[in-house]
Amino acid sequence: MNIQSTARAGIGLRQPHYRAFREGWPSVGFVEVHSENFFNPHDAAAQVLAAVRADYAVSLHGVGLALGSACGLDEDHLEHLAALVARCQPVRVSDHACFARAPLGDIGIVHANDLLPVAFTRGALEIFVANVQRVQDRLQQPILVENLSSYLDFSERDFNEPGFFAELTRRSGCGLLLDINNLMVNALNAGTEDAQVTVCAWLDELAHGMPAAAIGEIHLAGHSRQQGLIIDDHSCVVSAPVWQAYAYALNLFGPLPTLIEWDTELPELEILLGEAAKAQDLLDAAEARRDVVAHATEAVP
Amino acid sequence: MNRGVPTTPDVPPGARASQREAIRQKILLQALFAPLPDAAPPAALGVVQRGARWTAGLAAYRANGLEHARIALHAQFPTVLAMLGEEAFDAVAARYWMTRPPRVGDLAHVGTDFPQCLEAQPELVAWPWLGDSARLDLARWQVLFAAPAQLAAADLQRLATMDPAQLRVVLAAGSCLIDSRWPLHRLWWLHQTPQPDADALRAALCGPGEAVWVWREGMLADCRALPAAEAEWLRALGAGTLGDALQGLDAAFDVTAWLQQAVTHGWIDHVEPLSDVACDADPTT
Repeated sequence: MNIQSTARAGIGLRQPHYRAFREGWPSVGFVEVHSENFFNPHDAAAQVLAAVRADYAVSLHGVGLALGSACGLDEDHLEHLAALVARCQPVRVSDHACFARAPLGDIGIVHANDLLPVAFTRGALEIFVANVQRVQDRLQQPILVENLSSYLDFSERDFNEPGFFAELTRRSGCGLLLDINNLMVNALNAGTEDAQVTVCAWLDELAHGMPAAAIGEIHLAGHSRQQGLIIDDHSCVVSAPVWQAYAYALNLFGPLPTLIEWDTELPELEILLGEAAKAQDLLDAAEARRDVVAHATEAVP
Repeated sequence: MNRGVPTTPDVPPGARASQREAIRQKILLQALFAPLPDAAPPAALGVVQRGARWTAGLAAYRANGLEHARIALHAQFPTVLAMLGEEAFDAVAARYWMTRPPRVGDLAHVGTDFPQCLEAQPELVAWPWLGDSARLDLARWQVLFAAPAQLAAADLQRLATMDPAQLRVVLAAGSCLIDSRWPLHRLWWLHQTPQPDADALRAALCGPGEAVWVWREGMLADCRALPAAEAEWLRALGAGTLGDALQGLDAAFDVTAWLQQAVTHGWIDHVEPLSDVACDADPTT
């Protein structure tokens, strides 16, 4: 499986930026949108997406499939996604390695509308594999599954996190959406002495267990400290340690499509584009290194 | 390894492992929607965090859910928000989220029973128009999820040439008529400004009830209060044939003028001959 496209930097397109984006038509590698915000084919947002899609590759990033839910998927949700994929012809489709649906008392199945953490157990892996395969069968294409930032985790585990994703991608044929900010948030919340070392060790572990071709996209974002926790709120610029971990990941895996996410306290579009340009510089450098290595390899008799 | 969640006997190992996760997920969801957060994690959840770290982790998820509720319901119920003010609205929104948790993973559709929730709040009994105002907000929100009307020349041709008793006028998807014992449209209109006129509101509340017609106007929702005859006409169109509706028509009601407006504003989706309806209903005939 190889669902990478050109390794360029893109931005998340959010409603407050629609006008500025359409006036400027900035040069970005792709545009990411939240799938659920475009499920309605009849509203103004659908028209915006169609116009943007005419000129840009679009990556559909969902927050509602709840791929780790033991009670299974919401088939209506999947049908809405399938219809959107058919309309939009995205370059990539992704969602999160979380659960959100479960029975609650007399109410029946509830959807928490959140990215709730899962244990890295064989049981969870079975659930993910079945649900991811169901989505891929319906969409007729592989999807990417994103590693989470989580504020609670479980003592019971059969895999470490990179090992879990290596197994998931191997067994289901999906790809990994590697969110480096999420790794940093988890490392900081775990209180590790050097969060960056922890993140790089995580990436090393992943590189040992999974081919680079299984990574389809990288996410970068800002985080903030709130009431004793680091929260992955996508509310500010990418932090310096995340940029450094990103550079480390590009060294390990080569250049990959990279998204700058910004979802709360949105800045002017220019600032977001500046962050994307910074990512593009690192991607260009990684591309150049790859070319050098390729030429050197060819030169060896 | 494999501590925490209780095992289930007589289940194959693979399924048992998945069942353990199902139990864990159920326990975490219960903790998220519990009226008060658990001071300590349920043992069967098997989380690592304890004490303040558990409290902060759980609080992060609970707060995120409430923030989702706040944002989604603000968008769906702008008139109710204007009526209650942000603080009171957010308090009801939080109660709604916790007592009527969402069933779907699309926040655009989480408020479908918010009007009933408002009507069930004891402290809002003195504001009995809130439920209908929420219904109007919801109708205006939902109509934008319906396909625009598809009325074609052939439909107009049917209207001009066929026996009305053999025709059914199908109104545009999502359009609806809301009957209220309150001056619903007037209240809605008065809340379209940032500072509603208090005297006008008091005066409006002494007025008669209104039937409000909601429809999709291009990419926007629109609504207006209907005279009794027009409301009756729309109810009749929804209930039976065009012929039936015409028979019960108020003498003062101008059908031709209504039709012109209906075509202009996209109120009619299509006009179908009853023979088609019969064929659709029973493919064997």
